[in-house]
Amino acid sequence: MTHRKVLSPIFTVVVAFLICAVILGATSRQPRETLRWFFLGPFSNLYYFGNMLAASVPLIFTGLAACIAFSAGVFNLGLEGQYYFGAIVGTIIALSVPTSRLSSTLFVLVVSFSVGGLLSLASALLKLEFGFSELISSFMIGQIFIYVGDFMLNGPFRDPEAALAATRYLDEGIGLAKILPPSNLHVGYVIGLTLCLVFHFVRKHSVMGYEFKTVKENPRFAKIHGIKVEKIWLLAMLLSGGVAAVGGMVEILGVYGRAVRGFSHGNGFNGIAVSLLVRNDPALIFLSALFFAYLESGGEIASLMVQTPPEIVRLVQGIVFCLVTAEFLFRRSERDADSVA
Amino acid sequence: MRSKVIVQLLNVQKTFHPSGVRALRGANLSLEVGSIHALLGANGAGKTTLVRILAGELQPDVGKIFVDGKVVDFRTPKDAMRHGIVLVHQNLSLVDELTVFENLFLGREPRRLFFLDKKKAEDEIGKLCEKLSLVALNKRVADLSMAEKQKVEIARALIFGARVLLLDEPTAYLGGSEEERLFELLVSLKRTGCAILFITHDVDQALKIADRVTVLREGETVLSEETSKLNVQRVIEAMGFRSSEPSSVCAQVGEELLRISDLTLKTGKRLVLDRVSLSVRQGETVGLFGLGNDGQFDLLEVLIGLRNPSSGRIFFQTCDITQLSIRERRRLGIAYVPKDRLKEALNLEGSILENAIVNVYREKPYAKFGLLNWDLLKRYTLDMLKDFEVKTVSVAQPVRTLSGGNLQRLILARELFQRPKLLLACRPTSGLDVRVQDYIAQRLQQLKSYGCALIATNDAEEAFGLCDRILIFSKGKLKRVLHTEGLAEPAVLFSSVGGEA
Repeated sequence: MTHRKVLSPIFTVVVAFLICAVILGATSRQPRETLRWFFLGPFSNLYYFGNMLAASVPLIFTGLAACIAFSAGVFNLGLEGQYYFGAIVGTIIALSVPTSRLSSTLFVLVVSFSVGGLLSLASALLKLEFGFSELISSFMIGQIFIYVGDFMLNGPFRDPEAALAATRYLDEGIGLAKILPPSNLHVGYVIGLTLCLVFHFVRKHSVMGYEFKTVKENPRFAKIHGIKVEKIWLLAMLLSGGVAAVGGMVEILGVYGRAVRGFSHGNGFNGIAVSLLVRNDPALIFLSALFFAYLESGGEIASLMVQTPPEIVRLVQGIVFCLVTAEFLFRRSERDADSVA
Repeated sequence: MRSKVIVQLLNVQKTFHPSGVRALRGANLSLEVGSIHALLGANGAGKTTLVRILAGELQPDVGKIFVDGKVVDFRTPKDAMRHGIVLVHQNLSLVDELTVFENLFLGREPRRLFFLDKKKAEDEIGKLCEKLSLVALNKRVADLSMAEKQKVEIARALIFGARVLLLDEPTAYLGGSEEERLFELLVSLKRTGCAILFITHDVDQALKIADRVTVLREGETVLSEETSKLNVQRVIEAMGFRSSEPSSVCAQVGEELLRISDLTLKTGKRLVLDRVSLSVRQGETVGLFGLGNDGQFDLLEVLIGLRNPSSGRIFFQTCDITQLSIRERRRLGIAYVPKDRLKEALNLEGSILENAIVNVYREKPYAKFGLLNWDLLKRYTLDMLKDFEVKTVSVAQPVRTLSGGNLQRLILARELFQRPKLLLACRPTSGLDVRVQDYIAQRLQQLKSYGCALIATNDAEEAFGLCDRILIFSKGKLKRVLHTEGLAEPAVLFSSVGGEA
């Protein structure tokens, strides 16, 4: 039912907007001003618009990371940790390599990919060796490494001159080029989009894509017909963690210029919702990431202009998450009812 | 004396979306109080759909349902239950972890305040259990046999106040004597005034125990008559079968293809296979028969590489394949049809195409540089479907929209289309109508000209009908070998197991 497939995410988004508007209108002393800044603010000038696009970049990466794991029927709930820790290690490496060369930027991205990939691979291995649910282990390993990252930023790698727990600033030569100055938008946006499209193509047209789909839909069937199910799970987890970490690194190279404690602020977890909202379709992830970024920037602008509490945005994200999950359950029961014989 | 009609279906039609499969095109049926009614039809004739409509699980597009002469509109199974119509599931609705007693009252426990009123429940159940000769009320359902589970299901339906029992292929999972007992039970229920409708493939069975027979053919009622006025021939013709004699082409027996020596398989402490040795030559169809799960199915899982034997060796042609992966074994020309058709042999979430290509997608020329050539794969699938007479609208259609018979054809087509040298098949003809069974027998005959087959089964008739040689298993041990030629009837298998077990 393709029309449903298109309509239901739109429905989710509209409902989220309505609820958001009602809450904003009810809590604000100047409801009209608030609503105007919240909904139209991100489009009011190129600077805000560019920042909104930039805010969607990390979500594109973590959304894709979640999507890759889902595509093979495994869950990676450690995105936040992989995003955060992978980027911190990448930054530390970046501080000690010769800069202003494309190759060193690439090298740093590869390093963070490997770090993030290893974290998620660990939980996949635990699943295969001991039968631990990767859902739990990836989350817990992720949490552990968030604290390890905090420790590194607060301790050995802290810039003594900075007021925050943060590393030294990276050399500008290693950073990603800006697209729409003075906004934050950078080349990372293009990288993210490209990766999504590549994965979309891989899913549709490659041997690996077919194997992912088959393993997801019926691992027993896949195994009986000679697909190496364990290998697919490992690969999916590795790629998922790696892409999440690259997302964190791109954010640092493009926006922050250094690793700051807590810079991930939920981008990892939101990746799951970003992917679910568009039913794990990699070609649409950029739209759903944009939606989340839109709410985020709208909230920020509104709080800047009319002092709305920025927590409102979290509330709306929570509502979207609920709607998306509810829809997930609906589809399941519908599928059961539609089988012939 | 004309008996009272309790349920009547008039011109019921149902089309499934999005596949567009027209499961029912005008079905009629009437059930009378105190009678057993058999619903017959080829695979895909719409029997299951009809029963599900009657039970409120599906809604008809067109047509009326009357209960006690009044039009009813069932939106959910609960509506049907309120009128006393209950579909007895194939042990899908029992909770394995609970006892029989707890299962009987699941969902409608008699309560006093918030606690289970055990005494009242026991009283209610006492009489019923006597009737059904259910004794093991405190046994866990997981420990029951198939037949006992079915009895619990029926008891549950009766507690719910069922006047009309619907049974979807109640004998599909039962052995010979269990089947007899089920029929005795149905007859005694009929005497108490229940109306019983059951689906079956077996014409003899239907004529033996039913009072009335209705035959569906491509979604339409083509015959509805009292049993006393029918004979087997008429029913089979109504179902749309030509009566045919299986062609017996005698193939030459060639070189040795498979040799197993001293194969042992343990799971935990249990000995699943105990030093099994055998050899199969090209041109042979060999049956592995055991009354229940006597290791014959596990042997096939070991042969395809799903499980590692504890000791022993497997040789295929001349190479030792004991250590090879499933993929490598399949490449050598070994094909496998697993026991559970819906969970193992098919990916029900996928399309027909995705299910059809699973053995070839990664081979050249279908895949190059890791990319799939979908055009070629589609052509491959269409050729396969045509060759094996699988009826489909399009290959992109979800595989779940196919009927049982077509699914089995698809599975067999997938495994045989690559001309394997060795086919390993678990119960290839179970639950299928005569036409599909004949068809499968024919295909296995063709296989003999270039390969061989090992058929694992616990159905004596199947082993007898398909194989030249039957190896009899009991508790993981190979007991003896029988050549079907010169044997009179399948029953011999039972006696030969009993004789030495």
